Amino acid sequence: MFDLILAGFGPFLDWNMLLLVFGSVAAGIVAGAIPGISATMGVALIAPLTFTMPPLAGIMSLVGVYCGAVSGGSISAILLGIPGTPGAVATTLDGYAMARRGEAGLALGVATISSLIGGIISALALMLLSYPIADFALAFGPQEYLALAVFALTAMAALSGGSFLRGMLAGLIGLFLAGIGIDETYGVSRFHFDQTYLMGGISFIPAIIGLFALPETLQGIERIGPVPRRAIQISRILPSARLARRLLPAQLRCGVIGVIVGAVPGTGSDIAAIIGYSQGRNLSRHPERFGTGEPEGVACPEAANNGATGGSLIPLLTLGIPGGAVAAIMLGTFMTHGLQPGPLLMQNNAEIVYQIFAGTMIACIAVGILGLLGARLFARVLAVPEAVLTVAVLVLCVLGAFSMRNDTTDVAIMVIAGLLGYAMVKLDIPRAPLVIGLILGPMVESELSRTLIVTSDDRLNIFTPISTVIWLLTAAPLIVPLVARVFRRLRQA
Amino acid sequence: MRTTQIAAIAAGLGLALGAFPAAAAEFPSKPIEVVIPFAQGGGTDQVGRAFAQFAKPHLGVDLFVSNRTGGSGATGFAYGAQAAPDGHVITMTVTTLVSAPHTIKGYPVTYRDFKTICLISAPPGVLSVHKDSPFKTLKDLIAFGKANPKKLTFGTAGPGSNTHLIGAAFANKAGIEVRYVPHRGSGPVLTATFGKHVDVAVTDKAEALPWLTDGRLRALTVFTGEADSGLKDVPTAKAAGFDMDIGSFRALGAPKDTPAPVMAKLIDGCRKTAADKEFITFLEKTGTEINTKFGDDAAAWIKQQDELFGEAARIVSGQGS
Repeated sequence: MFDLILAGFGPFLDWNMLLLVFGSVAAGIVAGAIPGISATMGVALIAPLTFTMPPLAGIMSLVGVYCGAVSGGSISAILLGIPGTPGAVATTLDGYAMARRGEAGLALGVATISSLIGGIISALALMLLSYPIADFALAFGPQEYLALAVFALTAMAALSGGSFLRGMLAGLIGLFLAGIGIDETYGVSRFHFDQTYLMGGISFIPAIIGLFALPETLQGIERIGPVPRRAIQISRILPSARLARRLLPAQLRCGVIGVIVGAVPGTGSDIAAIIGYSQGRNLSRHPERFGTGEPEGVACPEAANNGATGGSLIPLLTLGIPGGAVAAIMLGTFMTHGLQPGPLLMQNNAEIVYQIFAGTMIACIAVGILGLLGARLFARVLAVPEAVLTVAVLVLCVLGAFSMRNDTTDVAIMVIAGLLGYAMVKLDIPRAPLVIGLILGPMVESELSRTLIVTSDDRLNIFTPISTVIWLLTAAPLIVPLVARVFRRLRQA
Repeated sequence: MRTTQIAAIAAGLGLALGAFPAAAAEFPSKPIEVVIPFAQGGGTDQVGRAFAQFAKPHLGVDLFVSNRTGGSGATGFAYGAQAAPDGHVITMTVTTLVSAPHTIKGYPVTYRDFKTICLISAPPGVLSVHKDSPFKTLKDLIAFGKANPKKLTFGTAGPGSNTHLIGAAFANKAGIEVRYVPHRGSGPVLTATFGKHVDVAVTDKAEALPWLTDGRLRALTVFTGEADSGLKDVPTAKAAGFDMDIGSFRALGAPKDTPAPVMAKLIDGCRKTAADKEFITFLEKTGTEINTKFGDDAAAWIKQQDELFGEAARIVSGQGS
């Protein structure tokens, strides 16, 4: 097996191949950094170009763009406070706070190193543990998804940035907005007011762009004045050895979380990042520092969302299951090359499978190298005068919202979400929980109804072994402190 | 009265004849948008993108795709139906257009809002089970279903989808009561069946084929009357005593007021593309078999599909599920 793994690196000794991987990672980073071009869109845009390439080159271009884009989303999150992809929402909280404190370089450095670590964990998992992980992922039915979705929902508390009640309010608004449109179980259309657009539900990319980007530009306009902004010094990029040691356990843990969440069909880097952040906060000794520019708050979501990239390839390569939109596009690419991902691919074309494993590892390393080399360059964005930057971001917002589905209504949604976001900033209501509600709302709802359908003959089936463990994990932060307090009382008495 | 009527008709015809060649001469004068009402990576998306890629030499202009997703296809279909009827916006009109209007209250478009250009493929519906499933034949399935009402679970692609109606129409004919588990598209249905979370996957043949060819899933029946559009070694529903010829389709349509000369050019472009060997092999690699009809033939066929699904929907609502 190890000789197969090593042989997989063979094609990448070729300069052309290496150049292709680095090139597509670079393209992915740029795509990810632009709000409105998500990782999925980046991969969809590049896919037609790969049909004429040899199979490995074609698939590696997609993997490269995917890894690059997931990592690139953190750049705009940190520098501008605007998540470039849905997976970077959690990174925005502490990343942007660090940048505002003058530590933009360090935040980018931590994000890149975390991406690298998460990516390498996922590539190793891909090489060594594909089959057990795939079997585990396949065991996810409605009951397990429901538990996972509720588990992820509890991240609302972690992303509330101090005020739990305000966070809940924002989360509930998000869940309500997620309920608009045709429901997935019975086809009932809710709150659509006879607007075709609303029947389709509120698309969350324009909403995220609006919620995060517009308030920043409006605040930027408030700041524009006769006093020139002091030039921001790019701080160090590499974390100190002490900080790096401190972050490592969190990065490893979140990388593993990312691999698992990514491997489960239907959940991807966005949910991985949310869970990574909230676990990082729950297990931190200083949870109160999260949201104020804590490096762990950047490391956790970035390690998790990059862990999810390799994770999502596991069910695709081993079982032929496209776990998400990106994997579905890759599946199409495989098939145009006459390869059918699934159990037979490993039997008939084991060579290319191991080459893809190796390539994923190289793409992750490319993310690290390009990210660290580019950090200083990216951070120069902050040297752009606020009056210019604000307008440029505004243009990007409109373009990003429009380009998602070529729909002007999406631009209107972006503006409305932006005004809502501005009001929330002024009222000191956190915006991240709203996004969590928007992302997870449809999942919680449809998994709940599916669970109720499949367990209608015996409700106890809701508690399968895996779902029970997830429910316990969900309840743990509520129960553990109570139990601890009771024990302390008993000991005192 | 009569003379004025004739004069009006003549004037109308004259206007039409005068106006149409001008419009046709202008078409195509700019790139054509191919609206795909579903997300990147799905079956409709694959066919639409392949068409856009291979139709360029046959229509003489660039074609670009736009995925206008949401609302069980409502967003994209509505956009395509309301576009300027000059042929520069064409839409992937797929099965949802004849199933969702029957099942989703207030669904804003129907097949009548489009003029059909051509039918590209029409894979029949397939029932498949996990390779280790105890159900070896359709008979086994029905026998179990009859003995255990509401025990079987059928995975479908959601309330507005044709697969839900196919499953329901079959269950009704077989006289069994089953539970329908809606999913977000056929991909998740096949995954759930492979993970043994549902008993039976209701999908179309193109969607199921990759899973059947490598033995992850096993087909119990194909809903077609023609043996050659079925699957090798799998009895057709007709052979098993169910006269059901139902599945899904992928077609192209233009807004309903598109003038005839423009339609003629679009139909001609589609005819040439569908005959293109590269296009055919490209689609076959992704599991889609070509099955073409053009213009009025295609329109009549889609109308018949609409009636079929309308009937299935009445059965479903009659069952109260």
